[in-house]
Amino acid sequence: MKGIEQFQHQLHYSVYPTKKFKTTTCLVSFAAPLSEDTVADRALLPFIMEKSTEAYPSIELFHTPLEDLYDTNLYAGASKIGKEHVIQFQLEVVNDHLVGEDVLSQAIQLLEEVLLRPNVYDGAFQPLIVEQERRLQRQRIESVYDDKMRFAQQRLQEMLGGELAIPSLGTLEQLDHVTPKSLFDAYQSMIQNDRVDIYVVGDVDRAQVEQAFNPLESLGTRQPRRLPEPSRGEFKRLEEHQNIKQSKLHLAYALDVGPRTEDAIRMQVVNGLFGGFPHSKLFMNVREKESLAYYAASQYSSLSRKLFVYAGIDASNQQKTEQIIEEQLKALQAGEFEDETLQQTKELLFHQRRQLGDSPRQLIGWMSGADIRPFSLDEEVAIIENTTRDHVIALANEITLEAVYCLKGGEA
Amino acid sequence: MKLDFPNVGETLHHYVLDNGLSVYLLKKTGYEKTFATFTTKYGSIDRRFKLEDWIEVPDGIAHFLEHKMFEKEDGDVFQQFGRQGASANAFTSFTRTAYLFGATSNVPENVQTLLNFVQEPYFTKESVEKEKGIIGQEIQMYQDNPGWRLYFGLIEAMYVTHPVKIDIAGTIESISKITAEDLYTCHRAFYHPSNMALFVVGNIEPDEMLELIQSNQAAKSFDAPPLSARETIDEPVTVRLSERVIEMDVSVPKVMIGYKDVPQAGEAGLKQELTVELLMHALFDTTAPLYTELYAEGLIDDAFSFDYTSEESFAFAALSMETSQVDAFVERVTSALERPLELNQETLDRKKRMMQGQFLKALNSPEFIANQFSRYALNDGNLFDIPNLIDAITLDELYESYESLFRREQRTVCVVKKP
Repeated sequence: MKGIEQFQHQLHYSVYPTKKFKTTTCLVSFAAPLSEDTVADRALLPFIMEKSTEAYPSIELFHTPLEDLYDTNLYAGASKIGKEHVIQFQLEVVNDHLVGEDVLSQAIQLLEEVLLRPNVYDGAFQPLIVEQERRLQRQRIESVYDDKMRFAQQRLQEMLGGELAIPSLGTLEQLDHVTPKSLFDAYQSMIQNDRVDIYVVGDVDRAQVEQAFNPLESLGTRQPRRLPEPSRGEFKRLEEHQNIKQSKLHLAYALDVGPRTEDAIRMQVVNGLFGGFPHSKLFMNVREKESLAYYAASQYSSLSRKLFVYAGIDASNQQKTEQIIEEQLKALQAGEFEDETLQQTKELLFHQRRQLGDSPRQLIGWMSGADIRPFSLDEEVAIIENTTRDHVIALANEITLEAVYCLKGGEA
Repeated sequence: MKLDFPNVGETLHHYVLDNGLSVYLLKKTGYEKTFATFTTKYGSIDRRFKLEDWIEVPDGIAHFLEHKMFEKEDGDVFQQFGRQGASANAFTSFTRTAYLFGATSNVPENVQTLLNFVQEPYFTKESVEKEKGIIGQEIQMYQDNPGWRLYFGLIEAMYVTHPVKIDIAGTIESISKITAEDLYTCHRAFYHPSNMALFVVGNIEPDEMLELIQSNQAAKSFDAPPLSARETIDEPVTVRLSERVIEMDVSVPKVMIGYKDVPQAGEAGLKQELTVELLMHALFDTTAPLYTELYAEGLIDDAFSFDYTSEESFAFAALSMETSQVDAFVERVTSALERPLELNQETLDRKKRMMQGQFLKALNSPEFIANQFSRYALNDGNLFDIPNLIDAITLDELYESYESLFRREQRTVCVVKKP
């Protein structure tokens, strides 16, 4: 993306100055190694930190000024990115000139209150708040059960092991060990040891950003991004039953393609032909030709070196669907696809890249992945453009089935 | 006609073509993408209507028709959009069906494709039968979704006769009756240009775009608008059932409290929508006294949300929560709503600033502009009037809304929980 300025003091900044949006969006991100020992504390921390601070010690007191600042959104959350657990604080603020007031600098000050002066007392977060939020977190973890697609994907990832098996919120058992004190320790570790990055998109310039975020300059420790090791296990299969109408078939394929290679970009073309779009083999055959599913798609995860396939089907059609999915992969490996379909896939991948700059959130998503990707946007477009039929065939032959999970409805 | 909205920093071009089609064009400077929606005022509630005679069609047909529009004699329209680098989609709501694409290249070709495929129906017996399996799986998928079951369970219990109570996709049984002839009939009735709006927003030159649309439409001939009447629905403001329990295997019980409102059309409807939304923010945001009180007791948290739905012929407020203490939550919320409202000017002013900010933020998204503008335009409203309408809301109006909405006889409680 042209126009992104990157610079570094103690913290690393990526700034995209633009007047085309109504808002300015800031993201402060804290990355640490993903570990079963800390995941539950780190996942709960943002939910507590976003609700109150030392100076604004209740939700009501803290949210009132945010509402006053034209509904400034301060959103915090934790997620898993490859081998890292990342806590993010995002601020979305209406541009000053649209409302004739200085909103941005006040909003950034509130964000800094959250990060530097949280609502703690005597080396611990407030016990009552922690208890409430822990109960709520328990409910969030349990509610995966109510979203059958997420549930099935989580079960599949548990079968694969490693980083994929660790839920981003942690487990109920891990949550039981979280205390007001352990949360404070996690907070201190976050502000001292994490890699801290700042992203800003909107009506700003470099000097303004440097000045506004200067109070955060003492935070964090600079360290490179950690990437997952390649892993490929023995083939596994698991079926489970629940009282549901539609069965969920989820498959995982392993592939030996490093996330920072040209092949990882080309693999997006392979995924596009296989199941990434409405013209893909899975959609055209499982859905349109055989009427077996409403959705049947694939998704490529470059960091974990996997390709996932999922479809919602009738329990009685599981074998048939698996067979058709396998046939589609074989057809791709044998080069059975039209040149026109290959071109169409490329066009849609170009489109995805060109439209990135129209959304502040997508832009920040792109900027925050910059250190994993060795290529610029234009270089990626060129790699896609130059992807040949032979590249696709060779890469499709790298893909091997690693695990099948089916959550079955109907009679057990 | 060119309309400037300086307070939101946008300029809109609006034209009505000879065939009755409303065209809206909005240039977003600096945007790479162009986003277009082609929307008909036709949704799941339009199940009885008059052409020459009154006709009743199977439930779920508007949604079925949306699916089938993409299939043509020479292939699938998705493929054509794909070849032109566009990503296409469609959706059906209670009152509208919208076809849309986003593209960063070949915009004129994609606009032509959008206009042509929606205006040229092609249905066969075989393709209609095939779609029944696909939509059957879509219906089953929603049947397993507790949030969807809760929402439709609530509406179904609230309404006596209004077809809003019928699931948008229909049932496996109702769609089994749909024929190719039915689809042609519905297309003829509701896809006339005079019943539709085209919105193009993004990287466009409005004059050139208008010329392209005009010449595309001038090359086609249309009969006079065939739809002579829609069903008028007699729906009381009191609810059909005050309580409803749906048994499902869920981890935590889910509850929705609905309050049925008297619907308003046109600008009055838009004003009512904003007034009730502001009122609900004042009552239920995290800064509200009720929220603070219930949060301290562990009865409300991040899982809580609220929403107001408002269309020409139906309107209702819904409060949603996941909790193991359903009864206590319902009791505390509804008894609070039976007490007189206490609201001051300071809160009103803060909520106004908040809603102004929300609206401005939403304008970053061409998708929001096109979808919401079309929704208002088809109901004779203007999306860009929102800042002025918010500004004009008074304390008295909030008190009136409160009095007329939160009444026990207009309330339904729907719960999804384990047997």
